Amino acid sequence: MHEKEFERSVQQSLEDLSFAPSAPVWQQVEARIRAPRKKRRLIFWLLPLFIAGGAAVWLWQDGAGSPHTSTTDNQIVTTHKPVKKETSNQKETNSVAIENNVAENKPAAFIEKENSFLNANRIFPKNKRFASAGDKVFARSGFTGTIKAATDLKQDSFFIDALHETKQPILAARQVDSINRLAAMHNQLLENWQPDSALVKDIVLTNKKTQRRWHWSVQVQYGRSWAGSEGRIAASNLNFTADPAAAPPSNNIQATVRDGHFLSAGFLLHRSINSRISLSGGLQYSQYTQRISVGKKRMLGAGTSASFSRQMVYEAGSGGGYYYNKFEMLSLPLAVGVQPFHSLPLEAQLGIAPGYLFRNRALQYLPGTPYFTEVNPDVQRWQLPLQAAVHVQLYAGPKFGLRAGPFVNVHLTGINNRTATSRRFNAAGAALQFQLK
Amino acid sequence: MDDHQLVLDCIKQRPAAQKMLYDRFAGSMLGVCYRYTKSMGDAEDVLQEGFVKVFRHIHQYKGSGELGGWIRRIMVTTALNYLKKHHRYQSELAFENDHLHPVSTDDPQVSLQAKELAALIRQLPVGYQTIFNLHAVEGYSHVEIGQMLGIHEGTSRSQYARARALLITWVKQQMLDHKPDHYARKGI
Repeated sequence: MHEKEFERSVQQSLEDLSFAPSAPVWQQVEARIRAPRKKRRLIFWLLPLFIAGGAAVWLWQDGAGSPHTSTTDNQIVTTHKPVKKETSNQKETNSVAIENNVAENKPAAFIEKENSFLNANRIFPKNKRFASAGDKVFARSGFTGTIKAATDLKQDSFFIDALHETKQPILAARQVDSINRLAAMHNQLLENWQPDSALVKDIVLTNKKTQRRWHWSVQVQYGRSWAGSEGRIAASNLNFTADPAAAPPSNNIQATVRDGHFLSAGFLLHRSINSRISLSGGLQYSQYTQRISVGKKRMLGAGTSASFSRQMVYEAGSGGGYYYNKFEMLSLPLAVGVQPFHSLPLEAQLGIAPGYLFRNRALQYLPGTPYFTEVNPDVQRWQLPLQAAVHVQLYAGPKFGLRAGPFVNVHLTGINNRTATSRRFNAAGAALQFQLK
Repeated sequence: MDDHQLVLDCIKQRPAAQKMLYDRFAGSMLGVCYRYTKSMGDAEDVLQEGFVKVFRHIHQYKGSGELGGWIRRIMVTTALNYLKKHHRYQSELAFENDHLHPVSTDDPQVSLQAKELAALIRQLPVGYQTIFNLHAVEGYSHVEIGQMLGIHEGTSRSQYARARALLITWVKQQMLDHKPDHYARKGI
């Protein structure tokens, strides 16, 4: 308050200063307070569609244009890379070298040679499991009887190795004999194996059919959601635009707030990076709720003025039923999935789902009254949830699959605009994923 | 309808409530905008901008003070931004001690009508006008004015003292039916 007479009289004089604004002012104000919402809605719908469409096109092109396929342990590694054929001179040289190595007690060199022989064809891996793979290939090519020989090759090599370790010179002659047989089998295999034949192409195509790099899935999640301030709180703290008070209730009017339902549904596009890791992205609708115990519902304010509409209110206290605060969000989930064990049909997923809260309804206390009313709370619209989930493959058919498992969503962003004491959404529950291959 | 109910309806974006709030406060707020600008057109521009802000941030009104006071603060802030933004005000908004006017210690009582007094305030140089409005009419301290305008507290004090002295001179002249035409801002 000014002490001086001049300032005081200026203030008093200017209190009554008033002008009638021209009509276009309100028209422009009205146009501006309505226009941005329409713009936002348009962007809100176009942006996710654009991103989802772009991601789909990228994945489609990448999946179709990739020259190689990912594999699992049970599949055969095949490529179009031409296998270097050995000439008859080289074969002879190799056989002689093998003989010399054995004669000079060089088992390591022998084994290495044998492995290189097996690797050259890339059909027979180095462990027993691959023998069955070799069986398939050679059965299809009509080259029967060789697989037995291939298995014998390994057994013989281990036998020779064992002989070397025990250093029994008496068996040296048998070693040389074995080597001769191995070399002969080696040559026979190479002569019959044609790496660029239609057989290889057929195997590649078969692999592509059985192992897809990407697929779609529809996901539904259900669980419980929390929006902060659960428990018995002062009614004034129901206001989402105000800072929630950590202190005990300070007024008489209180409300009991509990966790509510969480529901989510959407579609995801998955892409396998390799046999263990996959990426996924898509579009998801989520609904977070919060349950508030309220009294009876009443209609207030049935005024005579046309501009004064009737208002639905809820009495404070419990007994009348429940009101659910609802927050609806559209998000773009992006996640990385890791399958830690090939022997278990289990995948752990971690990701983010940037989203926009497009529709919010919450109960708010009417100060000075024993009532609550429904409002559109001013919350932080853009949200960034962190999502973690574990999926167990329940069924895996040729056309579709079914996975299920627990999930947890923790929002990194707050609900209200204040950062210091911001409430956050959280949700946990179970997810069901229907995979379309 | 009381202010609280009006605010609730505006939060729900009910057009009738928004129009009612505008009709209730537009006249007095145009008076506020008028004092900070040099023309009625500019005042209406500020009013329009200010009401757009009011409706977009109405949810931030906590009901702790008067709704009129809250809207008034928005209008003042909007007016200051308007002055900083527009070229025709920028050159005069430089708060330098280049306008040397005598400092008066007179403390007369103003017996002018509101519009006459507002017209005199608007004839002050923009810097003087702004600081006079903020301190004498709105009641902001010089420290607050310094923070709002990005100037030193002392600059605010000295500019206010000179604005006050000039205005007292004009008020006295006005009361004697002498208009300070040589200070009129033409074309602003």
